[in-house]
Amino acid sequence: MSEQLQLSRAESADDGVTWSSTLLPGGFSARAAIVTPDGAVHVAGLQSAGRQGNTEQIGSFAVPKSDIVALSVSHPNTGILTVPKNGSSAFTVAAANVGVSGDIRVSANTGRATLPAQISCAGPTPRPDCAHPRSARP
Amino acid sequence: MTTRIDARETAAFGVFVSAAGDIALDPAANRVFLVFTDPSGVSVAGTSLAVATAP
Repeated sequence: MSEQLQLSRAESADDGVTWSSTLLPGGFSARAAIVTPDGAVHVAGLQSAGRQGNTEQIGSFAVPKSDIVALSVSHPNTGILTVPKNGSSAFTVAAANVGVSGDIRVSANTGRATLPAQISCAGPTPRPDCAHPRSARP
Repeated sequence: MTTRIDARETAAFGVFVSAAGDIALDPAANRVFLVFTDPSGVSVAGTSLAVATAP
């Protein structure tokens, strides 16, 4: 079997439940989730990549939440950002909120790897008056 | 960085990476992640891109 499945339950302040699983390189999977609500349930989030690697994450919550679909794009579109040694490069992330309006914190990291790199972030740009200055390790 | 994203709205972010040394081409390990969380700290999205220094 090409997949390692890890199930976990984590209850947050609003009784959110999160399942996660990890797919090995070249692996694929399909799964179904059955939810039996004891009240209003709002499902949010299908992440194609999490903090620790290629991770799917679906959460169910008692209150509606923002649900962001985010895609990274490099140029050229190889999925690899090539940075000159001792130089800089950049990539773009497009995000769409398919949930409710809300404040979203955006942060960057290198996961488990320790890389000789500085990361900064700028955006968003839905409105011209909404640009944020670049900040180190947002 | 915290920003408001309204329902059905899109936003774009630029991520800038400066390399101070060699980063091997190892897409499984060497990646830059962008994580989106709500005010309660719940993750609501994530995306990543492999990163490597030019040969």
